[in-house]
Amino acid sequence: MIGPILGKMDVPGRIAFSRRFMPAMMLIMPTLVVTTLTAGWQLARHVGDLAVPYPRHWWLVASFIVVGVMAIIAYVVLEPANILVLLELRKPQPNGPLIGRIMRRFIYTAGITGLMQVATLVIMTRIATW
Amino acid sequence: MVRSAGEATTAEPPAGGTAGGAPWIGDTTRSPVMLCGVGAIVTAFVAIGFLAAYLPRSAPLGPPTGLLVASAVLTVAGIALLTRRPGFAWDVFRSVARWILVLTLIFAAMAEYVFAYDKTRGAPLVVMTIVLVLAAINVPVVIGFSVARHTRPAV
Repeated sequence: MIGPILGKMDVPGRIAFSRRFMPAMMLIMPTLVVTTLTAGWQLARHVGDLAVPYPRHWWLVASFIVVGVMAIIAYVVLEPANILVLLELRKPQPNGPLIGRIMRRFIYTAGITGLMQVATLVIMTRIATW
Repeated sequence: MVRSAGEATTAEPPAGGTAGGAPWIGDTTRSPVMLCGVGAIVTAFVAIGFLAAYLPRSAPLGPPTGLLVASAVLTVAGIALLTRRPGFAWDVFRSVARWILVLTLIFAAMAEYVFAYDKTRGAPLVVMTIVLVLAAINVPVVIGFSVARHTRPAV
């Protein structure tokens, strides 16, 4: 939702928004990821989903792969890009070309993240309808 | 003309921006430090995935142990390569990696608590703990390096 809104804003507006938005996101998102992962694992353990035999267990393996891919993207691409852009925006004269190049990574990874989210929905639906 | 670290000259000014008519777009070279860091994280995650794929049965410990050894080797290699990088912005690296380290240590402590709560014992607990340690080392290194490498080289 935020991406298209940001895209329609002018550059000073984007910078002002990002300065306030990114620090909060950098704190909230990793915490949210860890707590939801832990909660999901505990829920699956309690309802017995972790103990299902193969071939159904492949759906769980698929979910581990999805989580792993998303974690790698978050730690290797998104988080460093967020911090770099944030540090650049704090400078008196932010480096536009550098910010532009780094932000393009979001576009490249958005497709992969979108695919992973669709895969998450498919896996959750399959597990819920066993 | 756009410049990157791969073609930086000693005439570059220390500040970012477009000084000298050539916009600075950061380090665009492929770094072995990133390769080692990402490789270490991936192998550690695969080790956990291997254990989880066998649940609720016990997994054979050979493959995850091998993956953890590979992850540890990549971690050491990555840090060794990082310390030998000339003109690296250590101040930026430290300021970023320090806080990421605090964050990953909190998450690792939470995960360790969950393992203890789930009554994970013995070799699986050792493997999980080593994975957490490797992640707690590599994640701050990868993020700190990814940010600091784009600092414009000093004169």
